[in-house]
Amino acid sequence: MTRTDRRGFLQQVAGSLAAVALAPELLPLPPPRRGAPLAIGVVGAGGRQGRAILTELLKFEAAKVAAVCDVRDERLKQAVRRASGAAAYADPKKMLDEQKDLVAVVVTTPTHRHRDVVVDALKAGKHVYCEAPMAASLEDLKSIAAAAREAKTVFQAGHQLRSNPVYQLARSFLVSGNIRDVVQVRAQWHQKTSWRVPGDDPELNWRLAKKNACGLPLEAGAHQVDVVTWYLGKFPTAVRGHGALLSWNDGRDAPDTVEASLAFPDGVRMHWDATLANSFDGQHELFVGTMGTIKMAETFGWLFKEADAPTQGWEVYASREKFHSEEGITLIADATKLAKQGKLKEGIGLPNPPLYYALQDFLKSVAEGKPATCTAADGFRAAAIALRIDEAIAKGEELAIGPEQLQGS
Amino acid sequence: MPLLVALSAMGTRFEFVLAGEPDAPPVRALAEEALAIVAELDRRLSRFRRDGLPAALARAAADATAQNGDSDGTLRATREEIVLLELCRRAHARSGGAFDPAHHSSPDPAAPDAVLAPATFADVRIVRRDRRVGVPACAAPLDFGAVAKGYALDLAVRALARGGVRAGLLHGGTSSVVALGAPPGRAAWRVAVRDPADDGEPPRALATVALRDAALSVSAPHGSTREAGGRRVGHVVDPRDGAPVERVRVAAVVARHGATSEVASTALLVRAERAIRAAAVDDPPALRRRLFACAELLPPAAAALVAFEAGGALHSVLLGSHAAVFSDVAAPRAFAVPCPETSP
Repeated sequence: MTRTDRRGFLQQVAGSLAAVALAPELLPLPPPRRGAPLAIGVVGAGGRQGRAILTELLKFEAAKVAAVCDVRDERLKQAVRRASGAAAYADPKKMLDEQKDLVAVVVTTPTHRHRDVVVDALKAGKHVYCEAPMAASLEDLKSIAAAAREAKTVFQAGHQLRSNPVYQLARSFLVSGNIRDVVQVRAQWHQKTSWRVPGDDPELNWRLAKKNACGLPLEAGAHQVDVVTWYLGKFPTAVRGHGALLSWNDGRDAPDTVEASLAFPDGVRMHWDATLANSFDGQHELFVGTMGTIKMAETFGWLFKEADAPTQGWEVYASREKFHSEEGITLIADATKLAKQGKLKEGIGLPNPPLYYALQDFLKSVAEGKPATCTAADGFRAAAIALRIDEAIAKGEELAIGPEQLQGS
Repeated sequence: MPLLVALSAMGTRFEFVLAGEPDAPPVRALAEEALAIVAELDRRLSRFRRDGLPAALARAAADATAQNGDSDGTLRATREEIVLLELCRRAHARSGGAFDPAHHSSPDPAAPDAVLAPATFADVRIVRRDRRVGVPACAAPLDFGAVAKGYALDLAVRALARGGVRAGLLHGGTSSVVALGAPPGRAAWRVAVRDPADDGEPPRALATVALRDAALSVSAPHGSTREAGGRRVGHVVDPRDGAPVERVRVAAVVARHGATSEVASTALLVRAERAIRAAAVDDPPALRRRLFACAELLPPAAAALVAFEAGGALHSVLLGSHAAVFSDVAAPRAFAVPCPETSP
C-alpha cells in the first residue's frame, strides 16, 4: 500500500469508526412518496421552545404544522405567523376535537401543564412528542407513563441529547471501552440569566416558583441525568444536594445556584451543579475514565486520552483542539462521508440544532412504526431522579433513590 | 442608572442600554428576550456555522445537483429569513450590485483579488408564497455580514417596544446602532462617528448624530487588511469588479431601521469609492455631482455622511433629505457642504 493509499485508507477507517452508530440519524427524513405530509399540532407554540420547535419542523418536507395552540393571545398570533396556514387554538381539547386529521401532537407547555395535554392527545389516538422533563410531579409522571403504555401510538420524551449524533458517537466510544472504567462523572449547566419571561402574569414565570418544582434540578438537571444514566446504563441509588438563592433576589423562591452528588451502585459518583449567576464553561458533561475523559457540550464532543492509553491508527488524522494543557480529539459525527471528501475538519459541530434530530427521530418513528428513541420510561426515570435532587436540596439531607423513583413507570 | 446587558454574537459584542428601572424584573426579562433574539439570528445566519442557513442552502444546492433533478435545491425558510432575503434582493437590485451578500472575496493571500463566487444575489431564488429559498450549486455560502447585525437589532428593538420599553440604545460592535425613543429628558440619543484612521484617545469624531427611533450604520474598509497589488488594503471590495475600497474612509447612514441602514451604508461605501475614482479631485463640481448621485441608494427619510481621502486630505459630504441629523461634521475641505434636498 502506498503512503497515499494508506493515508486515504486510514482516513476512511477513522470515518467508519466514528460513524458506526450514526449513519441512519444523519440521513434526512425522506419526503413522503404519496399523500400529504404528516399533519402536526403544536401545543404551547408561542413560548421560546415552541418557536424553536416550529422553526425546526419547517425543515421537514414530510411534516406540516396544521394547528398551533397557546393560551396567550399574543403568543398564539405570533405562532400563526410563524407556522403559515396553521389553524389557531387557545384550548388543546378543542384542537383535538376539531383537527381530526392531526397525526401527531408536540407538547411544549410549561412542564407542570404537560399531563392533561399529553394524556388527552394519546387518548385521541395521536402520536405525541412531549418536551422534557416529562412532568413536574411523580403523580403526573405516572399518569403520562400509563397513558403511553396503553396507547397504540408513538410517545417520545424530548430528551433530545439521545438523538444527537455527537452524543450517540461519544456513547459508542464509551460503551466500547475507549476510556476504560468510568470513575467519576461531572456535569454542569451554567448560564447568566434571570431566567425570567417578560409579562405580568406570574404563571409565565413558572420556573421561578418552588411550588411548581420546575427549577434548575428538573429543567436543566433532568436532561443531564438522562445522558449520564443512558451512557452508564445504570441509575443512582442516593442523592444529596445544596441550593441557595444567591444572585436573583427579585421575589422568586426557587434557588438560582444548586449542586448535587449522586451515588451509583458501584461507588461512582456524579457531581452536578447549575447556576443562573455565571456562564463560565456553559453546559457540559464530563465522563472521567481510567484511560481517558470524554467531554460533551451540546453539539460538540472531545476525547482526552491518558498518556498510557493505546493509540489507534485513525487518531493520526483526527481533528484536535487545545484546552490549556490538554488536547482533545474532536468527535465528528458524519466522519465517513467527510473523510472521503477530505473535509473532516468541516464536520465539527452538527448541520442542525440538537432539537432537529429529536424531532426527526420522532417523525421517523411515526412514519415507520419504529420504537421511540426516548421512551416514556426513560422520561419517567430522568424526571423522577431530578425531582429527588430537588427534594434532597430542599430537605438538606441525603435521600435514597429507590423503586418508587425508578420503577413507577 | 440605566440597565446594561451584553452578548458576544456575530463576531462582536452587542450591548443594550435601557432606560428605566434597571432592577425591575420586566425590563431585565425583556432585555434578555431581546438578547436571545440576537443569539438565535447569529446561529441561523452565520456562514461559519454548519447549522446556519448559508451552509444549509449550500448543502441543499449540492444535494440537488447530486440527485439529478429529484430536488429543486430549495429549502423552507422562516418568516424572518424570508423578510431578510427579500430586503437583500431589493438592495442588490437598487444598488446595481454594489451590495451583494452572495459575493465572497478570497481570504487566500495567494489570490488576493480573486472573486470566488460566480453567482450574484440575483441568482438566489426566493419564493415568498411558499417561503422557500435556493442558491446555485456553485455559489459560496451567503454572507449576510453587517446586515444581519442591523436586522437582529431591529427585531430586538421591536421586542423591547412591544414589551413596553420606551427608551434604549442598542449596538452591535459599535458600527450598527439602533435607538429606541430618546433618553429621559432629552430629544435624542447622541452618537459620535469616530474617524477609524485616528488612533488618538479618544479618537477624533467625524460627526455627531442625533438618533431617535432611528438606526445608524457605519461602514468602513479599516479593520482587517490584506495584500493587493503589493500594498495593504482594507477588506471591503466592490463585488462587481473586486476593486478594494481605499479612498472612502467612512460611509455612515441614518435610516429608520438597522437592516436598511446597513445595506445602504455598505452599498454607499462601494459606490462612493467608484465615484471618487472616476472623478478628478481638482474638479469639485464634477466630484460633488457624482457623490450626490449616490443618494439614490438611500431609503426614504434617510441621511448619509461620506468621509473620503482625496488630494492628500480628508473630505466629507452629506447626502439625503435628513442630513441635518449629522452635526459637528469634520470637514476641512471644499466638499463639506450639505447637499441640496435629494430624493431617494
